[in-house]
Amino acid sequence: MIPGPLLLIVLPLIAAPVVYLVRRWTLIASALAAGTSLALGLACLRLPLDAPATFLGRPVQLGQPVVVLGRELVLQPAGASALGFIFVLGAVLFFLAWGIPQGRLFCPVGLILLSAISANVMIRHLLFAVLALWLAALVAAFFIQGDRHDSVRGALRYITMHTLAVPSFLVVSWLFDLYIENPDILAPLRTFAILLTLGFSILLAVVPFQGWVTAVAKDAPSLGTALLFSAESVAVLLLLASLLRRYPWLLDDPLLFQVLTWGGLLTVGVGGLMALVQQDFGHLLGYGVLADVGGMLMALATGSDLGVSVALALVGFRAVSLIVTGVGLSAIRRRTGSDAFADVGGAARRQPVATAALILGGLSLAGLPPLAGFAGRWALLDFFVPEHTRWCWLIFLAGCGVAVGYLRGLRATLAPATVEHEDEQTQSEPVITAVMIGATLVLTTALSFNPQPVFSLAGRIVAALGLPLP
Amino acid sequence: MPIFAEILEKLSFLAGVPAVAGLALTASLIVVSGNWRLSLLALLAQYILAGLLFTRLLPLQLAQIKLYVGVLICPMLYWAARRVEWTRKRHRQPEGSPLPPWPALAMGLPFRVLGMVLIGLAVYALGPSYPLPQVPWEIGLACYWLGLSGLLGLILTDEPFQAGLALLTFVTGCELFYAGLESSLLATGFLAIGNLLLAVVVAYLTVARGVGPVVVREAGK
Repeated sequence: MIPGPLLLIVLPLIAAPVVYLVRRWTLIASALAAGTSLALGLACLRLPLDAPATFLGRPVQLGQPVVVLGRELVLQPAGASALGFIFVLGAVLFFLAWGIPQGRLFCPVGLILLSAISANVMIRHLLFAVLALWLAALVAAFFIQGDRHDSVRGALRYITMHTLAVPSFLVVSWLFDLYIENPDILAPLRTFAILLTLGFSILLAVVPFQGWVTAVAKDAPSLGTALLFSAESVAVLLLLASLLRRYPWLLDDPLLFQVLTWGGLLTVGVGGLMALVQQDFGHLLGYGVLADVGGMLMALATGSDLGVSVALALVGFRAVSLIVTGVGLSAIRRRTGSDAFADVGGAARRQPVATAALILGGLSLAGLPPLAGFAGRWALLDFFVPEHTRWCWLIFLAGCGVAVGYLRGLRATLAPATVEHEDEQTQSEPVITAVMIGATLVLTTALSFNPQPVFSLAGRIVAALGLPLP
Repeated sequence: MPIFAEILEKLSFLAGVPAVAGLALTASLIVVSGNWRLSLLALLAQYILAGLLFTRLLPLQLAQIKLYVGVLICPMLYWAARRVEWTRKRHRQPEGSPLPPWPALAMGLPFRVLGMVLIGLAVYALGPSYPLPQVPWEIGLACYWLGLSGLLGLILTDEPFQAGLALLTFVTGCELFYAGLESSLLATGFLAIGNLLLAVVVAYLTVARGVGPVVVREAGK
């Protein structure tokens, strides 16, 4: 009987070197990575946790705990749903990487990243969960950098900020251990609150720790951005929620939620305002994500089951928006060699499908109807009305800022081609790329009319977490 | 590897204020120096001195792991820096170093020295006022010095090699503090893997940044 935690951590690690070896044959590499990820995702979503089942002809029990050097790993219902989402998302991205190449390291390193995130979700001890997340971030640096030679800012900022977040969790973890051994010698609650607030603020990119988001969005392959900004968000949200569930007395100090609320407001504002004035699609994507993350933080900070559910649903809709805009951005970057507004003139004629995906995905990120992001943004606004009408206006205006940024980008793509790209006007997009991009466009539109699968998955995770918090 | 245990034992008389003073010097050199060989040598010395302090907080075997990790990290970074240097020399690039000149006069040597002086003052103020729990006072000072120097180094540069050394310095300071709190094998092992992976990433980014312009130019030809 193979225990679930072992399967979810080891199988991607076994597949990764194989995928690396066959990386030149993109179809095989993508199919292998996507197949592994999809199989694990479906296993998490479909197989029972508390009973033996069969996975690829082998007996497994997903909910069976594993003890490694005295530390327990276990897949719980909330973790299973979250990992199901992450692995299915990974499968979609790995498959898309066949038609829209993301660099030779994307698929193999992506699998290792998924393995590390699985470990983060399943380890019950805070210290090792955070260390697994740190290792995941360090591994992710390889595909953020990918084959780029002109800039290392994205990867460097990403590892720097994730490394800076670790020490506060190390100390908090020690304090928790101390508390478990002897509840009477509890350290001042404010110490816990300050350290946790600092650590989570960095990981969740609360302003002023947001610099890594835009740098990664600019430098990373755009499908990699979708994977990082979705999978990691889910893992961090789950970590925070499970921590508060296990130690509800942390809520006696309101600092963490106050910082998340006000930091969320600031993040929404900064994201929307900065998106308005960007001159390239990479940074625009980053600020669009920030505006969305801000809304997520505000919903999360309510601590209610509905708030956390909306926050998780926002991550799901964001993932779809990022996939759509990411495939378009990748195709345009590949052809033009740049994503600056000054360089993408003529792209709308040269690559109409990619341009449509880039702009519509961006508008979805901004929360405009009839696109997937609208469902999430509407749920967020609905959640805050009527108590916090001003917050709703800020979220709405931030969405407008992101939308205007993408409309400026659209105008740039409609401008005449620059001299060096004139000769490319006659080349059309490869059929497979156009089909893949078209499929993502259909997905985002379909999801806006039927957003229930995302909401129900978020609801399942929240119900399994045992929220609302007491 | 008994040799490391022997080194640590022979140098154990330094595992106090002298090691802390040495760490202050090495961290300052890493932040201030523009010579990559000197910075890397300072990092190696830093790992050895930190290894000595670890022997006061951890069992000898675990302190040895910390030393091994440091000793493994330095050649990795050396290899990356050398590769950049060779590639640039071969392609007759004027800058033969992975550490380019300071980006602006405002961030030049005097500014960095001044920054380190301010760090010294901050440590002088923080050490007695906010002593770190579970570690002797002089080790607490070393933690503050390494942590703050690392942060200063990160603020002052965008170059992966320099920023990487600063980040490793910051991590060493934090690990030194954490060693006083927790001495489990699993935590030490996880942190060692994290450190090694961090160094590999820094080496990778150093090569990507240093060799990149040459590759791009060659591709253009």
